[in-house]
Amino acid sequence: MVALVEGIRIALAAIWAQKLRSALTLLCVIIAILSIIAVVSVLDGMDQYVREEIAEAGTNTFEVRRVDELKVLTDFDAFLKSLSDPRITLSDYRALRQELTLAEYVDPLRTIRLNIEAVSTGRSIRGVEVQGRGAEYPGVEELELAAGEHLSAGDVARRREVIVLGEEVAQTLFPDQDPIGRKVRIVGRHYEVVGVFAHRANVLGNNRNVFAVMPISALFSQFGAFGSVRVQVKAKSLDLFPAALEEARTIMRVRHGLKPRDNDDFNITTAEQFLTFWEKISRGIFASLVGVVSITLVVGGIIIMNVMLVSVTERTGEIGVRKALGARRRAILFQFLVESVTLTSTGGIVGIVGGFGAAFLVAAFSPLPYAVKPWSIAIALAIVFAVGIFFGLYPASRAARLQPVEALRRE
Amino acid sequence: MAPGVDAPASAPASGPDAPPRPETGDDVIIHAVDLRKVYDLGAAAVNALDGVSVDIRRGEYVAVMGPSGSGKSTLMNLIGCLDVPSSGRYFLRGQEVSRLSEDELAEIRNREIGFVFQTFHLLPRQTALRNVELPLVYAGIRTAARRERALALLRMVGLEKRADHRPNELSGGERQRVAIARALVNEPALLLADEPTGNLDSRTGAEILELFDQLHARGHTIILVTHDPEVSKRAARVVRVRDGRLESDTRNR
Repeated sequence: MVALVEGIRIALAAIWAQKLRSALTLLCVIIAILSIIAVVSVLDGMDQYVREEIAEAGTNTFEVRRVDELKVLTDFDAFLKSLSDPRITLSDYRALRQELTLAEYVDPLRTIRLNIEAVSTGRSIRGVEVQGRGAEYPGVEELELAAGEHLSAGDVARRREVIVLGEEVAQTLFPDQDPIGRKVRIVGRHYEVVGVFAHRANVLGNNRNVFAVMPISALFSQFGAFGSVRVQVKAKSLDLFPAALEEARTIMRVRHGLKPRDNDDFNITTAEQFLTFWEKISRGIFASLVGVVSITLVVGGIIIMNVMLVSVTERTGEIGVRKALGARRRAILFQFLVESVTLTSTGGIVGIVGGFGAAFLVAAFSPLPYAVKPWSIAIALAIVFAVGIFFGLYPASRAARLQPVEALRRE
Repeated sequence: MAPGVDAPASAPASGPDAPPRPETGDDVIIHAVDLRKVYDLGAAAVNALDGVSVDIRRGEYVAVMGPSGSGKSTLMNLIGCLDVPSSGRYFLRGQEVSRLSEDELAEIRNREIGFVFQTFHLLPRQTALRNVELPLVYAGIRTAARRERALALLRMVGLEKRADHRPNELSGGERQRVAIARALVNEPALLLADEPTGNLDSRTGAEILELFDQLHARGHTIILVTHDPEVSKRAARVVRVRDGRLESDTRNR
């Protein structure tokens, strides 16, 4: 105990005496520990975020669509093939709507980017994502209203020219007017604003308030029924979710006249798939973190070993004196091990503080939550201890093996 | 020129007229028999020490003299338990130390021997007090007791006001006083000084020798290695070494 306190004191004095050298020595360790803390925090923040998003989207919804963009990353060949698959049409939607027995809500979706202009104020907003939808969309996606009302079944059936605006669209077009009942112009045609959506939180810097919803029938009558629609389905319950998914697949296969051995010529995507994909990515990021950190630590460890060897050589005389005064081998070994562990721990603590800072910056400039994990700190400390002992052992044993006579003579 | 002629009568300096060489007598601190040290320098083997026998009693003040290369440093290393002989036997306070392991030797050095070096060998980054404490650290003494003891020793050498100074803030004489305090802090049986005045001017050197005289008067056993005849005159007994053998062993006055 006496020796430990003594050793730490000596080590800190040595580190302090050579501040610049110590900082350079520890650079690699600091970087490694900083990346552990920061990357783990960011990954965990993204994980929390993804899970919240999926919970919001609803775990028992799925989507029938021609192209699954996620496959660009997971299965590129299937993605390319799906580009030449038949479109999913409104009649596919109607068939699903009628024949799906296990679905609670079924709603079509087709989006186009358009400019919208307010008739009363003359203000306009460019490139708004205009979604053509049916009347059941509030059932498949969480979309709260701030004012007015959602599209009605009648709006969709009668192709009424009505529109519900996203929060930011409404604010831009009608900064000091109540938008409800006013007209907006889209490519020459007038639509009446019937509702305004509530504010939605940004996602990864993505503004989710610049959009508008109109009846898909009205969208098609103005722009033509080109392109493929997506059909969003909510199962009656979570238990029925797999069965509902199978039912939808069967309906689509029958409609597309597929033989039993043919592959699906459409995609059914679920939040589950996205979650799986995310888990794969985060695992990949974590694995590369482990790789990068290991290499950095080996480099850092070798640097520390070198510095410790230099330190042993420089202090040969001191070692001789200590031995002459009665230090045993173990005391010298211990002294230099404590010194190298103190060195790496200092780097570790600087790295942890830096990691907290990095995680804080990420949280400040992105929607990710601040999420430094206690276990990542524990792991970081364990790592710096291990590195200090592993790479300090050789220099320390060199010091311990010095003969007192030799060591004294060399000063 | 006659090695091994260590007349028993020359040994006692203070004690009663003792009979020749008791093997484990309480007052015989050093009992060395036919010490040899051979350095194997590749092709040639060098006999640094070629059969030295010597006895030193409690309270003696012995000067070891000899030209460089005479083997006196080797002899001091053996007596100081910094090294082990190639052959021969060495008893320190009745305990045979010539066959001990390195760690056992470290413990002996810690308990029984206080070193004073020509170049002081203080730890440069530590204060005088912490330098003096060092042997107590390796003896496993607790902090409070250590401080108290180290301060007492600094007071004895007249440096209690310099306790918090680092070696580079002290004069040469002060550094050597700190080194002497450090050597004595663990109450060793033997004070072993290797050219303690070699790096000091003559006045400061004289002060240090004065301190040795006082320590001797208080009953400390001192072995002082020197090539300076003036210094050796202070000692009661002078042992001369040449070519790895004892050349003479005489008593002053």
